[in-house]
Amino acid sequence: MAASRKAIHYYPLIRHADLCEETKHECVEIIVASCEKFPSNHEAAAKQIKETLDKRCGPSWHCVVGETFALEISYETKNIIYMFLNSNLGVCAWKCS
Amino acid sequence: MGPKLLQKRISNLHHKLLVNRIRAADAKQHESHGKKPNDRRWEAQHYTWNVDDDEEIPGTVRIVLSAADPQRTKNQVVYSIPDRCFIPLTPENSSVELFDQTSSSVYVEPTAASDATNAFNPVADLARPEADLTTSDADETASEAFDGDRSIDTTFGHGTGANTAGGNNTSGAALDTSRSDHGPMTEREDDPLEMMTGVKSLVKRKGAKGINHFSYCDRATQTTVPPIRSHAIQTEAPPRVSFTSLTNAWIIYDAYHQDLAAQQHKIQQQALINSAAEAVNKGGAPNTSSTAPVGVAPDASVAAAAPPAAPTVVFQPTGETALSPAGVSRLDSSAHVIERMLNQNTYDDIAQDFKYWEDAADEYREPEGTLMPLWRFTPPATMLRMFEENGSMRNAVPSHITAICWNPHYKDLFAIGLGSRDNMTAESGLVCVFSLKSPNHPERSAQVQAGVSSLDFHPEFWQLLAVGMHDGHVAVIDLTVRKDFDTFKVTNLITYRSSAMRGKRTVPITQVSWHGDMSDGNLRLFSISMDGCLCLWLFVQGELYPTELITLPFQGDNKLQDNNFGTLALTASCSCMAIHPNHTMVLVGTDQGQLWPVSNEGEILNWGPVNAHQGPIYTVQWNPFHHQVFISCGTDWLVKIWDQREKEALVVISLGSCVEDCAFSPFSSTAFACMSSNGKVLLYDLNICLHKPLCSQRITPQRRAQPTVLSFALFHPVILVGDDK
Repeated sequence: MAASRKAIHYYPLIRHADLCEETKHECVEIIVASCEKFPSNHEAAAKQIKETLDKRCGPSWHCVVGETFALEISYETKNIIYMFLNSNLGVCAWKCS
Repeated sequence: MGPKLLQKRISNLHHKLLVNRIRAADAKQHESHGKKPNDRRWEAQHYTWNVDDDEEIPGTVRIVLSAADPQRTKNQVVYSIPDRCFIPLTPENSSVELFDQTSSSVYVEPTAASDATNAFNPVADLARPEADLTTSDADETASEAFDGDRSIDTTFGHGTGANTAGGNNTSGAALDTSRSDHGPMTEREDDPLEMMTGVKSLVKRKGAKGINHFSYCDRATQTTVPPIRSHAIQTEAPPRVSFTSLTNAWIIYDAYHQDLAAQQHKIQQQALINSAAEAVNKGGAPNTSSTAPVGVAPDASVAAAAPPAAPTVVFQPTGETALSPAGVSRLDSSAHVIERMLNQNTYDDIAQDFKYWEDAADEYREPEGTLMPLWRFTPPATMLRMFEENGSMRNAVPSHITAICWNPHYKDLFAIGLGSRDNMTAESGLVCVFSLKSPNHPERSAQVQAGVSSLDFHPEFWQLLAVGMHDGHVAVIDLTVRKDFDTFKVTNLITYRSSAMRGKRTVPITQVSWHGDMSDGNLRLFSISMDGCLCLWLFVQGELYPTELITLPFQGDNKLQDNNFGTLALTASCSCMAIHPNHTMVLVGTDQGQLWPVSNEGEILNWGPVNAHQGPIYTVQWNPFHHQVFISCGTDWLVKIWDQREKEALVVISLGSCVEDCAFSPFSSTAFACMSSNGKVLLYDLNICLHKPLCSQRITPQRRAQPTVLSFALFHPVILVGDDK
């Protein structure tokens, strides 16, 4: 148990998502890929996530990538995903055009 | 000065005179050289235009003729917009045409536009003699014609150049240039052609030469322009929700930790269920060692708690929630018990009255009874009121209560059918099964597609409820079948029904009744309908198989039958029926007032028909104790008790109002209840008094609601009365 507590979990953990199942998987893949591509540059990762989602799911997506942040947003229903990554990263992407 | 000014022609009339005057003027001028300029001016002014009375004029006369028009302005300017300055206007031609003669010779221009050129410029006439010469040659040789053509053009060009200013001049020049462009080329081509084909090719050449200032035609077509419309649609904005969240390292860590714990818990649970299921599969009695989840749960406490809990887990799957169908059914049964308990408390006084009511006044008015209101029901869309004994139940519902039927098995269970009394306008009906123990809510209810006209519980298979409907359907409801678990809805309980393919009547069914005889093992159901047909339905394996037994003939106004409907077989309209307690025959009452005894096989028995009433018969019923006596009532205000062996009624009672329903009491052979349309229920006991009712109770306020049906409970001293509210 102690070992597992200290272990760093790399799997993506979805905290809140009201997308449909298919889109959710796609979004998770996009986010994971973007964050792996820019492990130290959150801004670039967020930009890539936003652009990819804009292409896949239509405009206009917004994305927050960071280790510590608070947000209060309004989004179009069925268009938000909020997840944790790599035990240190929070990613929130939502659609609001 | 004077002679110099004289430059123009002088009219013949005044020639001499003028010469004289000029001379005189010259002399005067020479004379008056020394004179003052003032005098000279006066003279000139005075004598210039006095031509006629020249004899008296002594002074000088000066008349000047000039080629220039004195009225014309010489220094006219126009503003030239491209040059942005004023430029002097070139004077227009002020020449006067003195002589004009039209020529008789016509010039044939080789091009099609020759007429236009002639008409355009009169100067072309001047060149005509020459042109005539050349065109006459032109027909013979093309080269000559061409030359002539050119010569015309040149002269034309010169003429215009000489005579007209501006536009004409330029057009002439343009003609010249076009000619000079095409001329040599066509000439070159034509020469060998001419040698071969002659005149024919000349025409061709003329066509080729068509590029001419005048022989060219411009055509344009404009297609219809489709009108442009604008059309705009605004869709609803997608709904938005706000979302708030906070992220930091702690929260992320906690989230992962929780998720991990949840996953482990799920694995444990699964292992627990699997092991327990294995244990059950192995053998009936699960022992502790087999049910213990060995090596699955890392948590020691879970492992310790597991063995005793394991078997129960199997029977309570964790996936089941309170809202799943199974959960609802369990909740329903417990809710049912609780409802009964609450009702028992709430209606305790009524229950006490129902069971133990003893009216102290009864001692003093011995032969009379009383009716006492007992329960008040508030079921959905239905308001029921109960009366004791001597009591009755009253419904206040939007549609009429058309049928009441007690269950022969459960003492407190009864069914009511809701429909419309106007058979034609029956829209939808309702069958509710109530218990006296729970007046608030029906135990079962079923919505049917047409108004219910009649209900009947099977005497032995008490769960089967036959329903006759206004649209001609017959249905059988099995109360034990519950099709869905949602008890809060009106449950569709109809399990078997007739279909249009198989025996559906086209007219309303007025009554259905189970036939108690089950000698052949089949359930049998009689129905009568408004077309006078007595129908037997065999209820076999969930299907209804109809057999038409008999169609009762019309018997009433013979005149009507003879005169108007001689060829048409009129049928009676059955309104009610009663199956003999011995199941040997059926007694059918009609709207025409007859009672027809019909055997089970559909033959009219020899003692019928009986002309029982003057109007429609509403109810007929056999005495449950004396099997040859029956009661009938109808619209003619009469209640009649008959013996089947007699032609006349044994007892006739007039209620002074239309009798809606009557019934023999199941407890006494001499007691019966009848109900008049003014809202009174009258209870008679022939043993006690024939003329006076045992008790009379107004059930419904007059004109407010009309009672429709009445029914004795089979086990309790209770009457149910249904009305049309």
